[in-house]
Amino acid sequence: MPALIETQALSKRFPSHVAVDALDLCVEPGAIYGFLGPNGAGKTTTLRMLLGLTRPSGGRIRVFGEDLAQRRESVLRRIGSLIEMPSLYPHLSGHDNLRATQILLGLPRARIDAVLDIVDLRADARRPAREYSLGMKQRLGLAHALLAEPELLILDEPTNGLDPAGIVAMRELIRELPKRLPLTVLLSSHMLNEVEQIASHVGVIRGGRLLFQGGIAALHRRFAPELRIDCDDRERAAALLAAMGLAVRDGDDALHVPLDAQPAAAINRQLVGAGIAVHALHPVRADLTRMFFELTDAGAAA
Amino acid sequence: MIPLHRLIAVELFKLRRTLALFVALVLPGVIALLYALMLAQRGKAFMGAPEQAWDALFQANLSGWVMLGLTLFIALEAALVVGVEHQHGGWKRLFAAPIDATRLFAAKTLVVFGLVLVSLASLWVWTVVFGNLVAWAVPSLAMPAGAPGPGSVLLLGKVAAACMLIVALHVAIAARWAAIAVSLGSGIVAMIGLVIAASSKWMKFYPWFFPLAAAQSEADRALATPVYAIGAVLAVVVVVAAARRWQARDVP
Repeated sequence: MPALIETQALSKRFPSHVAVDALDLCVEPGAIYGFLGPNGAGKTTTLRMLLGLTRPSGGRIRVFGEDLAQRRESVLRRIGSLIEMPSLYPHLSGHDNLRATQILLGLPRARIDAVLDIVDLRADARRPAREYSLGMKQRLGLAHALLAEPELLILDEPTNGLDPAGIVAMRELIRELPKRLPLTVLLSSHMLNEVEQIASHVGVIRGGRLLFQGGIAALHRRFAPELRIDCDDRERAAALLAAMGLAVRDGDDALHVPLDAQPAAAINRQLVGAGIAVHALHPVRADLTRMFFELTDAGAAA
Repeated sequence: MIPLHRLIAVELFKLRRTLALFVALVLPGVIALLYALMLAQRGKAFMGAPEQAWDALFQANLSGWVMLGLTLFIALEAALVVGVEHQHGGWKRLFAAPIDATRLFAAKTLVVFGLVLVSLASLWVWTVVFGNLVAWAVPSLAMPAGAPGPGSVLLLGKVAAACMLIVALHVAIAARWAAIAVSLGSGIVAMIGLVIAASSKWMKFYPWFFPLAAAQSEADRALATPVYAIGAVLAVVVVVAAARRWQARDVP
């Protein structure tokens, strides 16, 4: 299946720095693509280039198989977006903010209530947007992005600034969207657990360069599972495990060794034999946080 | 591509709950009130013969509005219509949609031009309201109840046509600089220029003079229609140039 978004050597150079460097992004139809990177990695600049808001210094962008530079208007008609903070007219009500876009795009008026229902904002739709909480503004921004029934939804840090309840609500909303609508979602974030819970694919960017891109399963394959060891004397245990020829990693209040390097029972026997109390010993899959830091640290070192 | 009429409809929709329409309706009334008070006070010295009273009052109101209010009014309206995009990421919202920048700037320019038309129509209505009030309140003037003659509407049309270029210029300035101080400052500078250079022979090439020339019928004859036509053409050039500038840079 052809990629929905495909960039080739996409670059953006500012006078002071390179924000995006030869990026080859590939987002497949139907994916929830988590675009990960630390602050200043080039995520927002990339998303802005995909929307034609920032002019690339080099490279090509194809969306829906069409060249963005040549077919900007027909491409943008099929995209909904929420970039940085929601762009709202504060003097208008939530409903009228959507009405302005509904008039602009010549959409049926019924779409306004439909998207207000999706983001659960109908009860507050007649209040001026300036009175909205940040979470409500984000939801209104998402409603705005969904108004034209887009095939592609581009969301830049959609949970930024939200309280924990708002984060959970927004995450559930995004996770449910592709089930309710035929959508592909490209979502940038630095909240790794958030992306891990909703994304089917991830791309990791640092310093404008793409360090990894693929399915979550492929990412997990790249990072071997580990044996997590909870014990009372980590320092002595680490020395003992190292003496056994194991690569030991100390993190998350426990020791970690490669899962298949030694049988767990043998490790347990050695530690207990040395007088170290072992509380727990169990295999763990690498979480996205660890994978992210290993990738980005490697990217920084390169 | 989104058609121009839809862009205009959205711009008008966004003016809800703003001061733009209020200012266009009320500000000319202040000028009309001032001249009505002068008429009441100075009587025949102001209006001449009673049968000429309406035309004299209308001419005074129009000249006063164009000289004292119109330039700043256009600068303010341009700042209001365009400034709404400078705040809260409005440009980003617009240009993430399938919008053509030239049409967008044309729509904004036409909406400000529409507000100029509203202000001129409002001036005519206020002239009628305050003129009749003076006629009723000061019977010694022997001013008949009524309204300015049909020529007044033609004069308003000429003034409006003469405003096209300065409307486009102020919209371009408001789009280029986000600070409302720049928009209003440009209006103040233009108005000072109008006052300082009013007697210069080059004044007829000063865009902010065009409406004043149109308002004063004698000068209007000297300038005549080609000036308005050139102004309208230059207005289109300004709109296209402003749009091109946007297309050549990153959206803020």
